[in-house]
This record gives sequence, structure tokens and C-alpha cells, in this order.
Amino acid sequence: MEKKILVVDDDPELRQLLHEYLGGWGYGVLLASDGAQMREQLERHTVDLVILDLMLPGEDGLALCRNLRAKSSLPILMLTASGDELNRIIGLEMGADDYIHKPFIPRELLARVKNILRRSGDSGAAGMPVKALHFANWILDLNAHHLIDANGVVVSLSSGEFRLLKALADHPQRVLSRDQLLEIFSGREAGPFDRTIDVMISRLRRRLGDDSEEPLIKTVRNEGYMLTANVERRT
Amino acid sequence: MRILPRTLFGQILLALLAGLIAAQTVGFWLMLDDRVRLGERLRGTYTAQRVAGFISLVEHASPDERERLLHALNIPPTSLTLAEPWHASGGLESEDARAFIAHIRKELGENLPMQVLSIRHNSRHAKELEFAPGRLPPPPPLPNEDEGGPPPGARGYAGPPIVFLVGQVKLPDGAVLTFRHTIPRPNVDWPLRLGSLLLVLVVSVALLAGWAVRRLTRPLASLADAASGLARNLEQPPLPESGPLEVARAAQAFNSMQRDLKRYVETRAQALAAVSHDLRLPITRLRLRMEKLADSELREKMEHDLAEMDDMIGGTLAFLRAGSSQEKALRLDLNAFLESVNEDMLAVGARVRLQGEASQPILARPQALRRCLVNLLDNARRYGSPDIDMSVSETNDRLTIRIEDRGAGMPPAEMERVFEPYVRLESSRARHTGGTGLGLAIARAIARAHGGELALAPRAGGGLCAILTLPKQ
Repeated sequence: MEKKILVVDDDPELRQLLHEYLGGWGYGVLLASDGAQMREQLERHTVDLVILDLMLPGEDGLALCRNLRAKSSLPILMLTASGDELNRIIGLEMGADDYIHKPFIPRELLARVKNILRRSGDSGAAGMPVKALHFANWILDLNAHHLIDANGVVVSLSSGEFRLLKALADHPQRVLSRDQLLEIFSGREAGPFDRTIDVMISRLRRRLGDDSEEPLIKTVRNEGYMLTANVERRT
Repeated sequence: MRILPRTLFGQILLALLAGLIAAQTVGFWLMLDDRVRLGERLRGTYTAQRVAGFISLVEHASPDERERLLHALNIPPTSLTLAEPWHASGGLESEDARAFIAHIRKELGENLPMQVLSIRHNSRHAKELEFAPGRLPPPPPLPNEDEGGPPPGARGYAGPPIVFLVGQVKLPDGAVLTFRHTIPRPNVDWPLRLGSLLLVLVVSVALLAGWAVRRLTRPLASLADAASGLARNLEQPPLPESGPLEVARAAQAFNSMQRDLKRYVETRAQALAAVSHDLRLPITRLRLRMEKLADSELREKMEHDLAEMDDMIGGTLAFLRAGSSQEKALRLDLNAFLESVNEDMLAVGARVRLQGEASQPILARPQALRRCLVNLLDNARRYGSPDIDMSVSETNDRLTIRIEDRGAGMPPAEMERVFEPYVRLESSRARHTGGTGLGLAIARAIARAHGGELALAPRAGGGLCAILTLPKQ
């Protein structure tokens, strides 16, 4: 069935271009220039995803995002100005599922759209995004991509380490094989990761100060690795 | 060694105290002198009365009584004799002498011929007379022409003068009475109470003046601090506009200058940010429009151009934001931080070797600091060599991160200029390598926003060294 995307942006040309572009990829595209039109469109149609510009005249994107989220679990993709870290973080706190900077590369937008639609299909409802994973005495900040220890000190992670730890923490107390873990690195930002999973794991263990009798990341012989702690997901 | 203090505080205090002490000293001296003069005048009057009394006694005594009388009257500090002849060379013409004669004549009530032969101050004989009471001093030699002032031998005595007076009077019967009289040294009672009062005055005025001057000069010191700190931090809190009127006005003027500067910088930044912001919409549209073009070499080149514009806009905005602090400062494990940055740099082909480590977490904005380091490492990789040395060292309050490459280095003359925004060396190469000319400007702005500093230096043995210093907590 054709997925419907509502584009809310005050620039008519951009709206039209997005209409053409996303339409070309087989999506049904609805358009709105402000909050009033958005609500009108939402009443008339069943929408699968809202692409919402942050900077709108009148009611701004953040306020609309908060209102939408209060009423439904409709997935939201925010369009932000590049590098506005604060807006990005606020946007995620207001309940957006993802964000993309202007000027974006169209295929990047398409990938995000597909990703959000797949996720919302998986879980039925997107709900509030998870902002942090708490395990043992650690907090994995999913926005800032770093760890925070029991004393509140930031322990930075390389992007590879972050993805590896997030994969393990997303499936706590389940063994992930090396192949499964390697797949993480064949994502959209594939790069020349010449380090093996084993090297990464040992680095992660060092970051976590993990050298005790009962390791946080346990090696399961001939199978893979497992995060032993309970993980609490906080929004 | 300089004697005068250099501080305004010291100079004002010194001038005040010197003036005060000088005024007090002169005042004290004048007052003492007045007391001495008063004493002298009183003793002078007393001497005239006494001498006049003696003259009157001798005058009215019969000649045979005179010898006995003289004998009886010869009691220090006065000695009388009828044995000396009238000194014909004449008496002193000084004012003191005339005043003395006038005084005696007034006391006597008759106009006897009279001359003062000598008024000697502080003479040796006078001393003898004074210190040997009861013994009659030898009659001093009659004054010569040059004897009028103090004798050359008189010294070692600095107090008020002892006056030795020699005079003659012709009695109506023709006898000549010669008298010598010593006016004893006046008792100078140093007024202790007055002195201590003056001392208390000097000390209390000094303390009060010190306090007042300190109050005046302290705002000036903070004004100087604020002025020298302004170039680094336009956001520093305004000066307190208190204190004396002139100082308060200077602080007000400074604060308003800071506000104006801030507004000026903000306006410019806003204009630049607005332009950069507004450029994003057409770039976004262009990219979407290009999706309609068939894949071609032309499209690839256009995409490359757009990516470059995107970089420039992103860089400009990052530079404008680098000084501001939207990101929260957190306690950061610097070792893990550097390792993770270096790990990520591997993905773009930079091999960073890290030496040394930080002993404790620092307070920093992780995203901004990451950008700063990535910019430096990217420069080292791009313009230097893929093998980069990074070292961490500490002093008591500073932490230094050195990033060194083995590239061609940079002329030392350019090492400051490259921190200016949009400045690139060798534009042809820069165009080829695609820099925006903002990397170092952003990195330095971030370093300074952290209270640190960033500088370039040549590396021993060839290459460039970027030195980032950060304050420790």
C-alpha cells in the first residue's frame, strides 16, 4: 500500500520539489505551508510520516511537533538548519523520530524516510524515542554518542565503539555473533574499519574499566559476545 | 632601584603623607620658636629691669658705699664694676642694643649716657658663668670691631642661645658702671603632649588617606583588568559603576563601549549567519532539481560544487558559533576522548600516535572540542603527513596537547595569519584540497571559548606543530 507523507514547509518551491522527488519514489505526498494547513491535511487523510520544517512562520516546527506527539505516535522527521546542535537536541526531546539538516542530499532524506517508515512498521507505534540506555553504573547517551560514568564524567567513544556498544545494549543478555556485529559496520556510513570486532571489544572493555571476574561484556567461546547487565531504556 | 612607588596608590599616599609631615614639622617648629621668643622677650625685660635696678642703687649710693654695694650685688648672672673706664670707641648700634638701652632708660626714668659694648650669643664665658655659679667670671675682653656675632669657637650647642651682655653707663657724678649680664639658657620644655597629639594626627590621617586612596584606585585596577580582558572575551560581566564620580564615569563609558562592541560584532555575525542560513534553501532546492537530471559528469561536478558550498556555509556558521556556548560543559575523560577522536580519524586515513595522558577529567564541551581536534588533525593529514604524533602533557594548571606532522611545514611569518577566517595558504593547493579557510579559525575560537589557546610552531626536524593548551580544573 502506498505510504503517505505530509511535507510541512513554508517554501512553496521546496514543497513542490519534495512532492516530485518523493512522489517519484512511490510515496503519496501531501503538502502544507503552516500549522493550520497541516492539521487540515491530517484530518482529511491518513498520514504515515510528517516531514516538518523547524523554522515555520507563526507556530514553529517545535511547537507543532510537541502538539502532534501529544496526540498521536505519528512518525516525525524534522528538517533543521545544519549544525544547530541545540535545535537538534530539542527537536528530539520534543518527540521527533529523526532529523535531517538542510541542505540535505536527497538520497539521504530518502534513506531516513525509509528507515523511519520501516521502524514504525516494525513496532506498530514509534512512541517516544529512547534517549539513553542505563546499564550497570553507566549511561549510554544516544544523542551525544558517549558514555557517562557513575561520577558524571564523559567517556567518549569512537563511532565504531558506539555502534558496537549500542548493538550489544539493544540486545542485553543475548549473544551476538561476530557476523551480526560486523553487519553493524556495513551501514550507511561504511568506512574502512580495519580493526576487527575483537580489537574493538577489548577497547570497549577498557573504556568500561571492565576487567573484573564478571565482565560486563562476556566472551562466549565460538559464538560471540554478550552484554551481561540489565539495560534500562529511558526516554 | 627606584625610590618612588609606581602605583597610583603609592604615589598619592606618598604625596599626602609627605605634605602632611612637612606641614606638621613646620608648624611644630614655628610654634616652638614662638615659645622660645616669648621666653627670650620675658627674660630680656627681666634683665633690663634688674640692670636698671642695680644702676639706680649704685647711682644713689654714696661713693664709699658703692664698693660694698657692688660686692653684694655681684651675684651671677650679673657682675658689676666701677673699675673700667668709659669705652670710647662707642657702643653697638644694633637694634637689640638700642632697644635694651631704651628699656633701661625707661625703667630708670632718666636719660643717662649709656652704651652696650657687646651682645654675644652663646659665648664661652657665658657658659662658664652659667655652669660655675658663685664664681665671678673674669671680665671678658672688650669687644673688637669684628666681635658682634657669635664667637668662632662656639659650637656643639644647638639649643636656644645664651646671651652675654656687656654695657656701660655714666652715672651723673661721672663714675662709669660696667655691667656684665648673662641671660641664662631658657628651659625648652618640649611639649610632649602636643608632640604626641601631632603624632596621633599624622598616623590617623595616614591610615584614613590610605583607605580613601585605596578605594579610589581599586576601581581603576579592575578597569585595567577589564580592558585587557576585553579582546578575549566580549561577554565578560560589566564593571560595577560605583566609586568616585570620575571612576564611575570611566566604568560607565567602558561598559557602554563593551555593549557597543558586542552589538557591532553580533550584528555582523547575524548578517553573516543570515546569509549563510538563507543560502541553504536554494542549495536544497538545487539538489532536488538535480535529481531530475540524468546521471552525468556534469551532474557529478555540480554536486561537488554544491557540497563545497555546503561546507563553506557549515564552516561559517560553525565559526560564528564557536565562541558561543550552546553546548553544555561536561566533565570529560580526556584520554578516552582523544583515543576515540584518533580512532575516528583512521576512517579518513590519518594514523595518530598518542603519547602521554591526562591525570584527571577536564571540564569541556565534548562536541566543540572534538571539532577543534578534528580540524587540527585534518589539517595535519591534508597538508602534512598521514602519520601524526599527538602528545599530552600537564603543568599545575594547564594541559597541553601537541599535534605534530612531518609535512612541509609553514613559513613562520604565516603562522599567525592562518588563524584569520578565510585565509588559506597557496590558494591553488587549497582549492585542490578543498579547504574552507575556517578550520583553524574555528579551532582557535573553540580553544579560547574553553579558556585555552591554540598556536602553531615549527616542528624540530621538519613539519608543523599545533599546540593546544586548555585549563585544568
